[in-house]
Amino acid sequence: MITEEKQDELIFDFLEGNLSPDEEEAFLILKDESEILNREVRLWQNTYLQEPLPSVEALEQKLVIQKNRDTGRLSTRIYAIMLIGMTLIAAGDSFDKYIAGSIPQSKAQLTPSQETTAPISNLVPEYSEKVTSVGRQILASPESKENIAPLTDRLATGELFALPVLKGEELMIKPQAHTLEDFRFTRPEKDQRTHVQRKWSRHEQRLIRKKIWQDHRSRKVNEFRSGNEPYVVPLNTSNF
Amino acid sequence: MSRILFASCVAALLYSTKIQAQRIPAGALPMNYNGGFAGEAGAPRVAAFSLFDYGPFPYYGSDPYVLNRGSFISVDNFVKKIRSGVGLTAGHQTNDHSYRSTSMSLAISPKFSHLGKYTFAPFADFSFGRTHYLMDPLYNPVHFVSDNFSFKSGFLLNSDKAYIGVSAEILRDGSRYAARFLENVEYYLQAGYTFQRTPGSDFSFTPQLVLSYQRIDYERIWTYEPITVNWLRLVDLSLGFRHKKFIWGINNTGLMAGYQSDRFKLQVTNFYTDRHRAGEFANLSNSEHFYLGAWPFPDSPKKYFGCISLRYLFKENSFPK
Repeated sequence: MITEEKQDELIFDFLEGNLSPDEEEAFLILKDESEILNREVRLWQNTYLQEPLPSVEALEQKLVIQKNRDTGRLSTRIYAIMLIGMTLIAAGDSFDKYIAGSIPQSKAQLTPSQETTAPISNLVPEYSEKVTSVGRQILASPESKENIAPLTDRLATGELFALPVLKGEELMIKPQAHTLEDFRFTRPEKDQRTHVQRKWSRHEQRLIRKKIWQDHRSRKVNEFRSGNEPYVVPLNTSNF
Repeated sequence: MSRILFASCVAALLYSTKIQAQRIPAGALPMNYNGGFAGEAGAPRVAAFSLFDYGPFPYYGSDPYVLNRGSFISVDNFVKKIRSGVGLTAGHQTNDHSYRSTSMSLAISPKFSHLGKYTFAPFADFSFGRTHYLMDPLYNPVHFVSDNFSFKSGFLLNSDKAYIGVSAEILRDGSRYAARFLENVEYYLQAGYTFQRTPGSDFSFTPQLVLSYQRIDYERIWTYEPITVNWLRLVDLSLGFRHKKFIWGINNTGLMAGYQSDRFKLQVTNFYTDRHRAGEFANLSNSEHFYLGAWPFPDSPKKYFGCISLRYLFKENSFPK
C-alpha cells in the first residue's frame, strides 16, 4: 500500500524523469490500473507551465530605471513654461499698447481736436444717445472750439454726457491728466523718509550700557546656578 | 642710637637683596605678590616685566652709578579639570656690583565661585631661586652661591571690579641659612578697586595697594639683647587712570603711561629722583621711635627708575565692553 506522500514522490519523479526504466514501467502499470493515480498524475501535469520562463537578463533590464530617455520630444514642463512665457509676452505687448494709447503723449492730445468734437457720435458711438442737449450745442458750434475745455474735464462734470452720479462711497474718481513723468519712481528726499534714527542722550546711553552689563551678569549667574562648568569671576581686564 | 644703626644695616641688607627685587608695580606680574591670581582671568595669560635702576649704591661713598636690571615672565591658565589655576613665573635679576639671581615659582590656586559674582581662591606657591652674591653685607667683594626655597600661601577674594588678597611666606629654606617655618613671616596685603560709573564707561580710576609686614627678631651683636623689628612697608601704591584704551598714573616706580584693552596691556613707568626709597616704616619694639626709611643723601646724584610690562590674554574677555 503506497502512502499518499510516497505516491506524490513517485508522481513527481515520474514527471521529472527521475525514475529508472523498470520503475517507470511499473509506475505506468499502476497508473493504468488505478483511476485515482491516473487522476493525480493529470492534476500534477496541469501544474506544469507551458510557456518558457523569461531570461534573467530580460528581467534585470526591466528593473533598470531609464534616466536619459532621448525621445526627441520636449517634456511637459518645458511646454508649460513656454506657454506661460508667451502669454506674458502677449499680455505685456497689449498692456504697452494700452498704456501708450490711454496716456496722452503731449498736451495737444488733451484738447479736443477737429475729429473729436464733431460729430459726437463718431467719437463715442456707444454714448451718443446720452449726450445732453447742452453738449450737442457746444460741440456743434465751431465758434466755441477754442474755448472748449479739455474733454476729460467736461466728461467729469457731466456737462457733455448724462453720466450717472455716484454718492457716498461710490464717488467716481475724477480723471486727471497724466503724463509719463507722473509714473516715474522718484526716491523721497532724505528729510521726508519715514525711518528716523533716534539719538540717545548720554544718560540714556549709560543706562543702556548698564542694562546690557546686568543682563550679561545675570546670564552668567544663571549658568553657574544651573550647574554648568565651573565659573571664574575674572577681574575686568580693561581696568586691571 | 645703636639700635637705629643696627636696624639701618638690617634695612640696607634687606634693601639690597630683597627690596630691590620687589620693586614691581601691582598687576605687572600677576602672581608676584599673591599666587591667587593664577588662572584668575579664566583664560591663558602671558605677562612679561622688565625693570632697570640707575643711580647711587646705598652705601655712601661707593660707586655712584650702578645698574640694576631684571626680567620676568609669567604664564598662567585656568584648568577646568582640576578647577584650579596654575601659574609659572620665571625671572632673572642682576646688580652689577652685588648679586645675580635667578628664580622660578609655581602657583596652584583652586577657584570657588559664589553666585557667579565672587571668586575665592586660596593658593600654594612654591619658589626656588639661586643667587650669586658678589659682595657681602659689609660690601666686601666675595663670591658665593646661595640656593633658597620658599613656600607661600594665602588667598584672594575678587569680583569683577575689586579684589583683596593676603599672602604669607610660611616656609623658607636656603643653603646659607637654617630653615624657618612660621618664623619672621613676611605678609603681603594686596587690594584694588575700580571706580567707574558703568562697566562700559570710557573713564575709570583704579587704585591698587600693596602692603608688606614682617616681624624680625634679632639679637644685639655684643649683648645678645633680643630686638624685635616690626617692619611695615608700603610696597606699592598704584593710582591708574584710563580713558578708553589709554592709561596713565603713578606707582612705586614712577610715572606710568600705556595702552590697555581687554586682551593686551602695555605699561611703561619712569622716574627720576634724588630720593631712592620712601614709604617704609620700622618700629623697634623696645623703642618708641618711628623713622622713615628714606635715605637723605643731599649730594647724591640723580637716580633713574624704569620698568615696562606687557600682558596678553589668549581669549576674549567674557564681559561686554
